[in-house]
Amino acid sequence: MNSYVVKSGGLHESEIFDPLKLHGSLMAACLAVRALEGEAHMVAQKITEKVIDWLETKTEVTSEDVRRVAASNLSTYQPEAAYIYETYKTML
Amino acid sequence: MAKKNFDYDVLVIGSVARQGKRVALVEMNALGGDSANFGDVPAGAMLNIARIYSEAKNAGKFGIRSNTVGYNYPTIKAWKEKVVAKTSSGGGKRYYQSVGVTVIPGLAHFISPHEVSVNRRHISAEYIVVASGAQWAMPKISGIDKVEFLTPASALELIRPPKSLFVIGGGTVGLEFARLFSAFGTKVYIGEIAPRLLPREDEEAGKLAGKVLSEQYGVTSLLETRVVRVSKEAVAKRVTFLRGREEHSVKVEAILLATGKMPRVDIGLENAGVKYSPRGIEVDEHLKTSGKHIFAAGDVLGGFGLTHVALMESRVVAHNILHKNKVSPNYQSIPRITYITPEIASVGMSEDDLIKRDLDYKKSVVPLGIIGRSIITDTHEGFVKVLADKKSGRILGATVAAPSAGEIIHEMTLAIQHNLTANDIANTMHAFPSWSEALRVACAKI
Repeated sequence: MNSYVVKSGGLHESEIFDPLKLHGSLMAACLAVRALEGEAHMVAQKITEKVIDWLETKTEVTSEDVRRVAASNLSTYQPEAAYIYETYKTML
Repeated sequence: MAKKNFDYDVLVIGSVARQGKRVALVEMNALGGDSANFGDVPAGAMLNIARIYSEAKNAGKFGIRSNTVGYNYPTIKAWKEKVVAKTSSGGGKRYYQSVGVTVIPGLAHFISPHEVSVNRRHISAEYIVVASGAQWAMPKISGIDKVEFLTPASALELIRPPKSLFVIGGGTVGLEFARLFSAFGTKVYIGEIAPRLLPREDEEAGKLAGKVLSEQYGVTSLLETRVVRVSKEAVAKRVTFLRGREEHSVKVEAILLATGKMPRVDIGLENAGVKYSPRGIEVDEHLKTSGKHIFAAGDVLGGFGLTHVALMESRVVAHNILHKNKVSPNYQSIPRITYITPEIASVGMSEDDLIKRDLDYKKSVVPLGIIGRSIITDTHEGFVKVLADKKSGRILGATVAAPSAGEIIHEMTLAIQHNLTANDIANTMHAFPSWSEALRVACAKI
């Protein structure tokens, strides 16, 4: 079952959940805290799988939900990267 | 009341809807919720059959020929299905529609404070009631993710009773399933971490339950026992537990998890600004959440896990949505029933509650055997316990362990609700011979 993600911005546009996109953003957060590339890839892969599991029963969630669930899981493996990942919008 | 830009006045997530204005109800499972479809109703139907079967088998002393009494499990299950279908809420889509409630099947997920997504359909409402219920909690036991286990819902779907069963959790649900399967010949073990069964009830209730289950149904109660590991052993399962600092294990056909429920809060509450914790949604005294237009009721509050409490809360929520004068739920006199034999029912505060609150109280415990009805029916196991305020005599709590205790307890529920004293009950005429006489005697002794 494909899960859809409602994008932020108030227009309620949604798109099919893209695991690669999530993987990429998680890797970027890990690399930003100077994790090794291999480690970053492994952690991003693990968190992406956890998010996919979480989405199994859900048809539509918001991009904020995906960010929150990913950050919460990431904090177990890479707390600093989780902080970056969760707050990157505020920091911009 | 409706604002035109919302699809509905009220949207209810879960099945404790009350008809009101333009109401929509989102339900992911069968209408009526867990209690009607997977809990109290089907379990009650099966327990009733277990009780009849046990009584028939033991009726020889009354001159009934009971040597050839047997059972047919598929027929028992078919009866259970019939009972579920007969309950007003079971499959009652038409009922809800007839009272003007739109039923939307699916799982609701908040995408904004006034809007949920159900199968990608966006539905908005001025008010939203979250009654998403609870799900069985997964205890932290090594190997539990690799072994097939039963939940109270799936245990009712077995095609035959297991030869042996380990029930993890000695609360109400665990005991009811122990009672159910042991009646049909299953060897049952109950693992309970507390020093007694029914740890939330008075000590006498737990002790009686353990005694009756052991003596009459061969159930082994393992108290002060922590299950640490489960594993597969060919087609069976091995349950390893710690008891008195020693590790023991037992091989069983099936494992049942009855360790309590956790509120179902993974529904995008953050997107609606609703505060919650894993223990439930936070509400004020009017059952309003941190979202001003969002209310919550039932098991998602993480409270009692009882259908009648959820119904009471849903009435409070309906009132508070429709009226300006707000009301609050009254949790003072909630009856609780464990459907074993004898039934164990209680209401109000337990003795432990009174001790914890440092309240001065008087108690009276009357064995069931002193009542005429007990001699007539040859039923001797049971008691009535009444707790009253030491000064005023006002009834604070009661426990009844007797046949039909679930009915008898309501006299005490009424007494607590209306601040009656033990003297009021003692001076009320009770029919002879009836089980309720035990209540009068207990109150007279206070």
